[in-house]
Amino acid sequence: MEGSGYRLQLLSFLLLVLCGIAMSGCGGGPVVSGLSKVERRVGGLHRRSVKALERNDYRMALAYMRESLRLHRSVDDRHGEALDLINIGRVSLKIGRYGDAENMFEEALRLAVTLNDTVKISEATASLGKLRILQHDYGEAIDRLTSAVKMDKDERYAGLGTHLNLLGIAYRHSERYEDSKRTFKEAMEVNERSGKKEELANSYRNLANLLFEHGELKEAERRYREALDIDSRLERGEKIAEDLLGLYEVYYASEDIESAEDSLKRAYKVHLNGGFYRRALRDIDKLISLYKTKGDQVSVDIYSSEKERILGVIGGNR
Amino acid sequence: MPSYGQGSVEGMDRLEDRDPRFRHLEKKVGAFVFIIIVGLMAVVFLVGREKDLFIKKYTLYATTDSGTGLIRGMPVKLSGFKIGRVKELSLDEVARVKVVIEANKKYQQWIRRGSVARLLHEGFIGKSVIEISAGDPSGPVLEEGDELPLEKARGVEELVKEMKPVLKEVSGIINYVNDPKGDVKTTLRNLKAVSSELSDIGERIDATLRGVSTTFKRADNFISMMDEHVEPMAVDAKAVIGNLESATRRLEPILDSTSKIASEVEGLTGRLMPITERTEKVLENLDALTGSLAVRGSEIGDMIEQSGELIYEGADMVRGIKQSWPVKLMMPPEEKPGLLPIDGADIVDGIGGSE
Repeated sequence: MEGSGYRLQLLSFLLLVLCGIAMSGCGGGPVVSGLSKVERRVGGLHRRSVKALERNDYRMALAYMRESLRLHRSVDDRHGEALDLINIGRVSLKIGRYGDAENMFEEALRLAVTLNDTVKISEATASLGKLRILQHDYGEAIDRLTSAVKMDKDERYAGLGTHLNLLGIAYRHSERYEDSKRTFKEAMEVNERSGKKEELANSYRNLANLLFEHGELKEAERRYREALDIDSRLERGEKIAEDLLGLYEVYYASEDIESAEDSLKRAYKVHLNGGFYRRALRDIDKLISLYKTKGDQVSVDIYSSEKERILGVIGGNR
Repeated sequence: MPSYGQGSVEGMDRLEDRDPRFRHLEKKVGAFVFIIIVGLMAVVFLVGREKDLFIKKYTLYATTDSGTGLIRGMPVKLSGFKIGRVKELSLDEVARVKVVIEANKKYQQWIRRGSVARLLHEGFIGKSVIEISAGDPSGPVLEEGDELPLEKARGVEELVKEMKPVLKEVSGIINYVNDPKGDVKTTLRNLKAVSSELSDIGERIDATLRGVSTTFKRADNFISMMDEHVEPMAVDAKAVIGNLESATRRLEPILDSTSKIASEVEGLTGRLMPITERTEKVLENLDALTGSLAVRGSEIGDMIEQSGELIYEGADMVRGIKQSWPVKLMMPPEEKPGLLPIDGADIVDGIGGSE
C-alpha cells in the first residue's frame, strides 16, 4: 500500500516535470520569472494612471505616477525615473501647473542627458518647448523644439511628427508664416507616413488655423474638413469641436451664415455632451451674437435660457 | 507496361548510402534517446530528492476528539521545520479521530517521550499545521507506531468565544450604569441632594459660630468690667449662660443632621463597593483582551504582508499562464509603461488643452 503511494507520487512528479519542460519550451518559463516585483507594480500603476487620465481624473493620475516615480527611485531605475518625470510634467502642464511641469521636465532632461537616452532628451526638450508656447515665450519654444526635431531626425524617432506640429505652432505665434506653413506641411507628411492619425489631424487643423489667419479661407476650409474627417473617425470629441469651430470661423468670415450657424451648433452640442461647459457657454455666447445679427429673437431667448440653465448646473463659476 | 517504383531504383545507390548525414543514424538516434532518458531521470531524481521523496519515513499516531482543522496531507513541523505530513485520518471504534503522521526518519532523534503534537494556525487565519514539540532529551525516542498526545491551540473562533462573555459583561455594565432606576443613577441623585444639604448645613454652622463669637466678645467685655460692676456682673453672667444654652440648643440639630449625612455616606459607600468590584473585574478582562488583541494585531500585520505576497505570486502565475502557448495567442499584447502622448495641437483655453 505504501509502495503504491510512492509510485503515484513519482508519477505525478514526472508529469509535472514534463509539463514544466513543455511550458518553458513554449515560452511560458522566461516570462514568469522575467518581471521583477517593482516592474509589475509600475506596470499596474501606469495602466491605472492612463485610465485615470481617460476619465479626466488628473489628481489620481498624478498620484499613481508619483508612486511609480518613488518605486523607480527605490530600485535606482534611472530610465524609469526619467519616464515618470516627463509623464508627471505632462499632466501638470495639462492642468496648468507650469512651475511643477518645468521642474519635472528640467530634471528629466538632466537625467536623460546623464543616461545618454536620446528619446527622453528629445521628449523632455519638446515638452519644455510646449511649456514655453503656453507661457508665450515663443523664442525659447522655437529653440527647444528645433533641437528636439533635429534629434528626432537623427534618430529617426517616431515623435518627430508631434514635435514638428509644436514647432509650427511656435512659428505661427511668432508670426513666421512661411516657416510655420512649411513645418506643418512637413508634419503632415511625416504623420501620414508613420500612420499617426491623431497627429495628422492636428497637422491639418494647425495648418487650417494658419491659413485662416492669413485669409486663405477656401484652403483653410479644406484642411478643417480633413481634420474633422479623421477626428470623427477616431471619435475625439474635443478635437471634433475644435474643427467645427474652425469651420464656423471660416464660414462666418465667408458670410455663409447658415453653414456657420450649423457648425457652431454642432460644436456646442459636442462641448455640452462632453462636459466642457465653459466652452459650451462660449459657444452659446457666439450663437446669441449670431442670432442677434440675424434678428432671430426667438433663438436668442432660447439660447439665453439655455445659458442660464447651464450656469445653474455648474454653479455659475465656470 | 513500365514499372514505376521498384524498377526505377534498380542499379542506383540509396540516398541513405550516399548522404554522409545518414551514416551511423541508428547510433545517433539511440544516443539522443539515451541522453533524454538520462536527463529526465536526473530531473526526476533531483526533484524527488528536493521533495524528500527518497528519504526514509516512519509513522506516528495521535488521537483527538474532533477532526476539525485536520486535513489529510497537512504539514507536520518541528521547531518550524517541516518534518512530515498527515498521511491519513480515520475514526476508531469509539469515534475518536485517529491521525496517522508520516515523519522523516532523520528528525526522529528529537521526537521523544514527552513530545506533544499541537494543532495550530500559521498566522491569524493562516493554514493549519501540526507542530510537534521536542521531547525530554533524556527520554526514549518514539519509534514506528508510537502514539503522541494531540492538543489543539486556540484559534480565532476560540478567541471570539472568549470575547463574547466579556463584551456581554461590558454591555451589561453599561446598561446597569445607564438605568435611571439603577443603583448608580440613584446614588448620584442622592449625592447631589447630600451635597446641597451639606451646603445648607455649612451656612447654618457659620451663623452659629458667628453667634458664639459674639457671645465670647460679650464675655470678654464682662470680665474687663467685672471689678467695677460686680452687681451687674451676675446679671450679665446669667445672660451669658442663657446665650450658651441657646447656642447648645442650636448645635443639637446640626449634630443630628451631620450624623444622618454620615450614615447616608456609609450606605452609599456600601452600595458602591460591588460596582467597584465588578468594574475591576471587567477592567481585568479588558486588559487580558487588549493583550491578546495586541498579539493578534501583529499577526494581522504579518498576514496582510503575506496576503500581498500571495496576490503578487497569483498575479505572476496568471501572467505566466497568459504568456504560455496556446493561451498567449488569445491575449492582447501586454503594455509596458511608456510616455504619455504630448498633444501637437494648438493650445485651447490658455492651458494645455484641458478645461
